[in-house]
Amino acid sequence: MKKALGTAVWVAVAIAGATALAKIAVYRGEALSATWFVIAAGCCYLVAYRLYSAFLAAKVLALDDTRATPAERLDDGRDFVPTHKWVLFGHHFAAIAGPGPLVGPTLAAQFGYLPGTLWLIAGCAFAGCVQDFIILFCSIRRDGKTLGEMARDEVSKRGGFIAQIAVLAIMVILLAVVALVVVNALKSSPWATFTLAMTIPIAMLLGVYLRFLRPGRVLEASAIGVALVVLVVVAGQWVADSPAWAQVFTLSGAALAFAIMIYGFAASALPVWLLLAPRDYLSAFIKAGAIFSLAAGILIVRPDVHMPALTRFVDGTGPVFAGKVFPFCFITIACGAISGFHSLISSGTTPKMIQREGHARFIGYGAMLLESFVGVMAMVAACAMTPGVYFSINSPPAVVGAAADAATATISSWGYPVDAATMAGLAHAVGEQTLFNRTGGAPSLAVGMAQIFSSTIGGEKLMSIWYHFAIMFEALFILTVLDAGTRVGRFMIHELGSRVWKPFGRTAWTPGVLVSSALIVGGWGYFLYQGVLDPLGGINSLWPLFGISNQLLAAVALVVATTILLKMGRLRWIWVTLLPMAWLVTITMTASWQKIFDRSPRMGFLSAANGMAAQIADGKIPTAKIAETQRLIFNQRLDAAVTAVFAVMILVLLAEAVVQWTAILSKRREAVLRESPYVRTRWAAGAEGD
Amino acid sequence: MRTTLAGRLVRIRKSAARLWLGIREWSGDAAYERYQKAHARRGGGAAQLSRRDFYLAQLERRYSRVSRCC
Repeated sequence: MKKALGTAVWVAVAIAGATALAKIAVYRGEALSATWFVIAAGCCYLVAYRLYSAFLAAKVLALDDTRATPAERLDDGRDFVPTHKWVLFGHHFAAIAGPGPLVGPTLAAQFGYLPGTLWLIAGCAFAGCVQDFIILFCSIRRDGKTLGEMARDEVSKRGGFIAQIAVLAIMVILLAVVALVVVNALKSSPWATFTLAMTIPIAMLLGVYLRFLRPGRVLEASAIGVALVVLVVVAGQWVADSPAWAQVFTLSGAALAFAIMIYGFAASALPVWLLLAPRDYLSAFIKAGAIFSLAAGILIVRPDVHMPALTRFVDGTGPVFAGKVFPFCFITIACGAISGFHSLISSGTTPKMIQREGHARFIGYGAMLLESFVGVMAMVAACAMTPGVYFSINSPPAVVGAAADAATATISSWGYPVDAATMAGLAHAVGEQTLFNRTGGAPSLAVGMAQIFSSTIGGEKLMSIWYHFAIMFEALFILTVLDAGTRVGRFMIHELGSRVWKPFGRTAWTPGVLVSSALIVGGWGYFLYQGVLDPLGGINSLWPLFGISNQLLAAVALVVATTILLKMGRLRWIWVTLLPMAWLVTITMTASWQKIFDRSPRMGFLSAANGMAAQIADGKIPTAKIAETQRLIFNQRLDAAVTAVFAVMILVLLAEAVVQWTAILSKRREAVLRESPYVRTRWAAGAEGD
Repeated sequence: MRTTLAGRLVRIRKSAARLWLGIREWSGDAAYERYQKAHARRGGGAAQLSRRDFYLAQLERRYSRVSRCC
C-alpha cells in the first residue's frame, strides 16, 4: 500500500513536471507566469534525483556504505573531518555557487527563455550533476585526491599536466571576466561603488576582530559585518545625493579595473586573516540570504515572464554577444548546467569531509541541482523584464548607439518596443543616472531582483535600496571569487615556478609572494583591461572565452571519470559520462572554431583583427587612433590564440584517453585502479548523520 | 495535555539546538570544538593548538586550494 502510494506521488510529480515543461515550450502568448518555470524545474529535479541519481549510485558506482571514507580513516579534526551530510551539503553548495549561474542565464536570455531553461534543466540532470557526483565519488575512493592528481594517476602523466595547466589558464580567464562584470556594474554608479568600497574596511575590521579579539567566532563577526553592510547600502544613497561625494565615487571603467587589480594583489599578498577570509564569511551569509530571498520572492510574487520563448537572435545576430543558439547558448549558460570548476571542489575539500559513501549522491548530485535552480531563478528575473528594457540594459553602445534615443529606436526596430522615458523612469527608480549600455548581466539581474523584492516588501519606495543591495550582493561574492582565486592562482605559480627554481615554491617567502601575485594579477588584469577597452563591451569576447574554458575543464573531468568507470569494469554504463563528454567536446570545438575563424568581425577574433588591420592599411583610421587600434588587433589575435590553446589541450587529453581506453578494451593493458584499499567502517547503521 | 505540550517544547528545543549546531558547523564557528574532540579521540599525542593558532592554520589551509567556484 505504502509502495503504491509512493509510486502514485512520483507519477504525479513527473506529470506535473512534464505539463509545466510542455507549457513553457509551446506557449506563445504575451506573458507567462514564472510559476510554470518553478514547477517545471522543481519537478524535473525531483524526478532526476529520485531516478537517475539512484541509478548512478546503485548500478554505475555501486556506493558502499560499509566502506570507511577518508574522513573516517584519516580523521584529524582539520582536513579530514566526518561531517553531517546536511552541513556538508551547505559547505559544498556555498563553494560551488558563484556568479556563473546568475550571470550566464541572464546573458543567454537574449535567445529567449526557452533554450536556456531547457539546457539548465536537462544539462544539470544528465551532465553537471553526473560530473560533480562521479568526480566526488572518485576522489573519496582516492583519499581526496585532486582532479589533476587523478588525471595523472588514471589517464597519463601528460593528462595530469594538461589538467593542471588548464586549471591555471581557466582561472586567469575566469577572474578577468568576473572582474569585468563588477566593473560594468559599478561604472558611473557612485552608490554601488561606495557600497562595495566600504565592504573592504568592514572585512578588515572583522579580520582584526576574528584574529585578535574573538578568534574563530565566525557567527558573531558575521552578524556585525552583515549589519554594517546593510548600513552602507542605505548610506550609499546619501553619497549619491551629495555632489562632492558622488564625484569621488564616480569612476570610469579603466579606473575601476585598476582599483580591482590593486585589490586583487592586496588580497593575495596580505595575510589571509586580514581581508580574504572575513570577506568570504561575509559573502557566504549574504549569498545564502539573497538566493533564498530571490526564491521566496519569485514564489510570492510569481512575476510574469515577458521575454518570448525564442527571440530573433537565435540566428547569431544578438546584441548582448555574438553567436547562434548552437553552440553559444550552452557555452553561455555554463555553470548553471555544468561547470568544470565544480570538479575542483568535488575533488578538493568535500571528499575529505564526507561521512559515508552514500552521502555522495545527496551532496554531489543534489547540490548541483540546487545550483541549477539558482540559474532558473536568474533566467526568470531577467525574462520578467520587458525585452525592450532587457536589451537596453545589456546592449553595448557600439551596437545600439550611445544616446538614449538612438538606442531605443534601434531596439524598437527589432520588434522589442521601448522608449527613452521608460528607461529614464526605471533608472530614477533604482537610483542610477542611466541604465543604458550596462553590459555584463549584473545590472539587468539587479533590476529584475529589485522588481521582485520591491513587489514583496517596500514597493516603489524601496526599489533603489533593493537594486543596490542586489548589486552589492553580486559584486561582493564576485570579489570573493576574485580574491580567493587570485590566491590559489598564486599558489599554482609557486608550484610551477618551483620546478624551475626550488626556492620559488616557498609560499611565505616575501619576494616570491610579490612576484607570483603580480604575475597572476597581471594575467587576469590584462584580459580585464582588454575587456574594458573593447568597443563591444568586452563581454562579447570574454564571456564565451570563459564558457569555452569552463566547459573544457568539464570535458577533462568527464574524460577522467570515463577512464575510471572503464577501469572499474562498468563498460555497460560508460555512456553516463561518455555522452555528456562527447556533447561538451562538440560544443567547445564548434564554439572555438567559430570564435577563431568566423568571417563576421563581431564573431571571429581573426576576422575582427584582419578587418581592423585592413582599415589601418586603407588609411581609414585617424592617426591618433592607430595605436589604440593596433592594441585591439593584438588583443583579438591573443584571444584567438588562447581559444586555440584550449581546444588543442582537450584534443590532446582526449587522444591520451582514447589510447588508454583502447589498450584496456583490447586487453593490451591491465586496468589498474588507484583506489585506496577497502577498510570496513566502524560506524554501524543508524549512526550519526543518517 | 500538559505532558504533550511539554513533550512538544522539548522536541522544538532539540530541533532548534540541532539547527543552531548545523549553522555553527556550516559557518566554521564550531570548528575549534570539533578539532578539540578529534584531538582528544586521538589520545592527545601532539600538542593541542590554541583557538587562535587553530583559526590561523585553518585559514591558511582553506585558502591555499580552490575553495570558491564560479
